[in-house]
Amino acid sequence: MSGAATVSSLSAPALAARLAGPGLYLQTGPFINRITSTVAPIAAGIGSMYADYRLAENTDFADFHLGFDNAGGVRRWWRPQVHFNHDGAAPFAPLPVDQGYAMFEWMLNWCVSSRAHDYLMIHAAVLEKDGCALIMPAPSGSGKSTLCAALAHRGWRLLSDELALIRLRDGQIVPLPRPISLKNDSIAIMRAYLGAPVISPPVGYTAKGVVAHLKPPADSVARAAQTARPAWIIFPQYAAGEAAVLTPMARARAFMRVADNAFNFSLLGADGFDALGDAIDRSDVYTFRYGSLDEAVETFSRLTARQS
Amino acid sequence: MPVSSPFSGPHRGWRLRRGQQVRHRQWDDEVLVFNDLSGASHLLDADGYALLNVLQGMPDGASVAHIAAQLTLQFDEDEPIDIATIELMLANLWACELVEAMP
Repeated sequence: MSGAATVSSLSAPALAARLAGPGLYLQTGPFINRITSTVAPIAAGIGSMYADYRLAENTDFADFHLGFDNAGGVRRWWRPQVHFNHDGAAPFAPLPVDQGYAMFEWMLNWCVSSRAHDYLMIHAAVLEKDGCALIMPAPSGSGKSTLCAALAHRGWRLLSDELALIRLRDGQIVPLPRPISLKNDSIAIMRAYLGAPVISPPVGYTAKGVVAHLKPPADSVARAAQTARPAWIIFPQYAAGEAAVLTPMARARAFMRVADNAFNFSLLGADGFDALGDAIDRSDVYTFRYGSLDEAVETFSRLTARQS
Repeated sequence: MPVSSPFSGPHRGWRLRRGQQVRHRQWDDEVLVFNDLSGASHLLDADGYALLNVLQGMPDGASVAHIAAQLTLQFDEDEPIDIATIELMLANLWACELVEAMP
């Protein structure tokens, strides 16, 4: 990232002016996002959570054009709302303004998951060590993001907490490190586990309950161009009070479960089938139940030791 | 186990559905087959995949009796595989839209 300007190079007023004016060209993983916004919580969230991210300067190109505006009329004062538009269209209903930053994160996910079809996209947390990627596909409520946040601060590099991008042409995992989405109890758990993490102000009454975002480690953001090869596919499930147990899984069954967690498996057709088959071939596959983050981190350390 | 299908009978001809390439991955005794027509993936056991293989080698189709004979040979069975077993396997593959009965 040598020499490239980051969001932290902009003062808060300069960032707000750029968002309200020509737009902020923000690099996230392989994508350039042009973001316009007049919404204060979004400017504050980007300034805090994306401080280490590269600005894509000297370009008029963007993969995604995202606009966020305060609602007009009476909504400017009474229960103010945020409108989202993408390429001029408004695909979603507005949300309360205090959910503006969470909405920004959800819309970034939506842009990628609905359009980036050069990749097989799996709803999964992904981390890396020694060039080997750990893919953890799982639905909400499995403890995936909490485990991902812990590992990302205990020796693993964060590639993504939501989207595993498997590049179709070579099967490599392309990083998309972004703030980690924490929900409900996991917000307090990560505050206690990490000491003094940077976490966005929690907002309640969202469709997902109370939501906050954890700032990703700067090293993960700086190394976002370094791809990794699939090495482990592990389906985590938090189970209070249980000891950490890794159980080998049949590969064909794992294939079906990963396909169920993919955004564009059917759309990609035979290319998706081949990409997922290759990833399964190259990986050790397990289910994983755990009741303690420390035990989980230790279990995963032993996994990498076996590999090397 | 008898199969209640409009397609039963030892002389009924079967073939792969047109356009199926039988793209697959096999791990242990389980095989995933990609359906070129629907885009779905189907989890088969090794026997079901062996039956697909027989049909792939016979683009003009094969009778149930011929498929049974081929699989008996392939699996090196002492007793011939019965027609009802083959019909049940064909019914499963037909439900996945991988094979079709010939007119």
